[in-house]
This record gives sequence, C-alpha cells and structure tokens, in this order.
Amino acid sequence: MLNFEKIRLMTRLTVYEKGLGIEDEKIAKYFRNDYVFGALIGSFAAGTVAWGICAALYCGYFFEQIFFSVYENKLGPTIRFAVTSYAVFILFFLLVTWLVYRFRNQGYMERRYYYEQDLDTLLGMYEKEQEQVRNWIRKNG
Amino acid sequence: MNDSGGFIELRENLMTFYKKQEYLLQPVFRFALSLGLLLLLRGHLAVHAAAGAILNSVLVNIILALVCSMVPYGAAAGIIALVMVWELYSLSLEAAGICAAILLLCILLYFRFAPRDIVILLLMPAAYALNLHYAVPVIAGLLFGPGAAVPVVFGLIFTRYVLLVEESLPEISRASAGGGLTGADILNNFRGLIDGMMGNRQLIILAASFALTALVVCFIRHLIIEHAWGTAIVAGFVLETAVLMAGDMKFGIHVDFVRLLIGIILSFILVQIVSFFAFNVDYLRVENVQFEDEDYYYYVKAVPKTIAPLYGIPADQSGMPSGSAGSAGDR
Repeated sequence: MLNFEKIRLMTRLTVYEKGLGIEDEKIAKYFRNDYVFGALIGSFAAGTVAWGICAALYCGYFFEQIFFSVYENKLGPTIRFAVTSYAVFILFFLLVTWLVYRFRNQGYMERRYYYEQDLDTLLGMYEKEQEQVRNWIRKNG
Repeated sequence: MNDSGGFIELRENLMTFYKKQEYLLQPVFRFALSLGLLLLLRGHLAVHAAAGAILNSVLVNIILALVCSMVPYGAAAGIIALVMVWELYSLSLEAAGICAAILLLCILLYFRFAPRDIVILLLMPAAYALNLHYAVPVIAGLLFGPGAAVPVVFGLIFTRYVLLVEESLPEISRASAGGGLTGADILNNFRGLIDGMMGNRQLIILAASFALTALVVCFIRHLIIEHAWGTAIVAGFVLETAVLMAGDMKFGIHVDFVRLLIGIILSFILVQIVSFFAFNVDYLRVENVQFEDEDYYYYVKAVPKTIAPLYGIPADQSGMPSGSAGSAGDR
C-alpha cells in the first residue's frame, strides 16, 4: 500500500538534492561571513582589473590631453579624477557583490532549513512504520 | 480543443524524445550553434584577412565546432572569443585590443556571478544574422532572471562591433596601410572604433530597448496572474517596437521598418514555439483548495499541468475516483 505523503516528501527531497542542492553544497562548505568575504576579495581583484581596463581605454582615447597634462605638469585633476572614479566604482561593485552573495547565502539557509525539516519528517515516518512492524510481530509472534 | 490536444500530445512526445536523447541532442545543438557562429565570423572577418586565415578553412571550423560541442557553454564561448580576437588581430591591432577589453569586462563584471547566462551571449549573433534578434530579450526574460538583460546587451555590442570593424577595415587594416602604421594612425583608428560604438545612436537605442524588454518580460512573467507568460510576451514585443519607433522619431536613427516588422513577426513565432515547450501549466483550470493539520491552515492554489490525455481520454474525464492520488481532496 502506497503512502502518498511519504512519496510527496521524498519527491520534494530528491528534486532539491538533484537540483539546487548541488550548488548549495558549495555554499555549505563555508560560514556565511567567510563565504561573503571570499566573494568580496574576488570582486575587489576583478573590479580593480576591470577599472584598469577602462582606464587604459580612457587614456588611449584622450592620449593627447593626458600627454600635455604630463608635459605641463598639471596631472593633479587627472589623478584626482582617477582616484575618485576608482573609489566610487569599487565601492559600488563591492556593494553589488555583497548583496548578491548575501542573497544567495540567505536562500541556501532557507532551503537547508526546509530540507532538514523534511528529512526529520521522513525519519519520523520510517520510525513509525518500524514501530508498527514491531507491534505486529509482538501481537502475532 | 481536439487540435490543442493534438499539439499537446505532440509536445509530450517531443519532450519524451528529448529527455531520452538529451545526452546526444545537447552536443548537437552546441555543435550547430558554434559552427554557425564560426561561419558568421568567417563571413564577416576571415574573408578580408590574408590567405592563411585559420577560419577560411572549413575543416578548421568543423574541428573547432566539434571541440565546442564537447565542452560546457562557458568554455565554448571562450574558444569562440579567442578565435574572434585572433582574427581581429590579423586584421587590426586596435580592433583586437578593444574586443579583448570588452570581453574581459564581460567576464570580470558579470559572468563571474552568472556563468550560465553566457548561452544568451552566444545566441545573439546567430539570431541577429537571421533577423530574429528581437526574440532574444523576450526569451531571456522568460527563461532567465532579470540579470539576463546584461548578456543580451553584451551580445548585441559584440555583434555590432564585428559589423563596425568590417565596415571600417579599409581605414584601419594593416593590409591597407601597407604595414606602415604610425602611432598617430593607431590612435586615430582606436578613437574611430570607440566613436563608432559610443556614438552609434541606433546601437544605444537598441541596447536600451532590449535591456528594458528583458527586465519587463521577466517582471511580468513572475506575476501571479492568469496568462502571465502570454502577457509578458506581448508586452515585450510592444515595448521593443515602441522604444525603437520613439528612438527613430526623437533621435532620427533611421530604423528600417519593413525589416523591423518582419523581424518582430518571425521573432514572435519563435518565442511562441519556445514558450510552447518551456511552459507547461494551464491557468484556465486553476483549483483553490483548503485544508489543515495540527500546525497550519493550508490554502493551496493547484495549477494543473497540461498533460496529454491517456489513451485518448481527457484528463478531467478519466473516470478516476475523487479520493485517489493527485486529486484536490487528497491530503
């Protein structure tokens, strides 16, 4: 005789394990702060390289103006613009990274909570079935 | 009703066939997409290069496409990107440099967060060649998240960049300069390419239209309303057309309306085909049920899937008893 409740529960568990559970395993290896901090370090490096690429393109485009600034020793405004743009860009990029990875970690925590709850329920169902078998044996043995 | 049952049964058969042959069909699709992109690059770039251009050899194209079919989409995109940069380098150093810069920015700023969205980046050039690029933001909004607007825009930028380089080749190529490019020539070519991209109003309006469409389609698709998918698709195409026409009136970007209309119609048909396979719930037969246990009251909205009738008997007339599995009263 089929226990439809157990079937539905096991289906939900299997769908999670074969789908999002595989990605959640990667998040499960770290504490939340370590996971987010690791992502922030990666984003800092990536953001710095990306800013460097944009700066190179900018310098290539405005090469003559920058060259004359160097020649006339008037690099101050250019350097101030570079530092300001880098600071604004990297802060924005780190904020986006923090939000994305916090959101991902939060999603993992919720899924993990419901997954463990379903596992406990399933365990309870198995224990109940075993109890029923033991009672039947006691009664008929 | 009989006709829709026939289509649904056909879809179920195709989906079953796909699930059984998925391990074979996925590489075939990747091969076809990679070969198409390499042949497009060949048609636009390699034909202008010297006789030794690697993409001019059909065998090399096929071998590269075979390699791309055996690796994940991210690696396949990396291979095609390297081939593109190499072909551009053989034509013009400045063009290759800008292309490599845009590629690196793509990877560093977006694809490290969502590597799976790279398939959208690969689909855009192929769709553009077939005048089906209006479908890409709508499909991206339906099947991916709101961030899909980014690869849609990057795909468009890469496509138009290759076309821009091809148009500018008489001025920027090494061959036309006779190998005697000076530093000033390099800087002028560099500025010309940047101006060609940044100053291209049609590209900016198209990119804005596609980004907005992907976001709006994604938003509407996630609403809990009836016919959310249908509404999202129609809204997406209306928004695309409206933004392009507004851009034409305001900024004079000279949109080819005949080509636009044909593209929108073909894209609409393509999106309908994709949504037919991707969307499998029937909001016309929604059931609202209520039950309780010790801890909670459950208010459940059950949306039945459009499953093909078994042995020709419609699903709601199958004669199954009301207390059996899957019915609304079952707890």
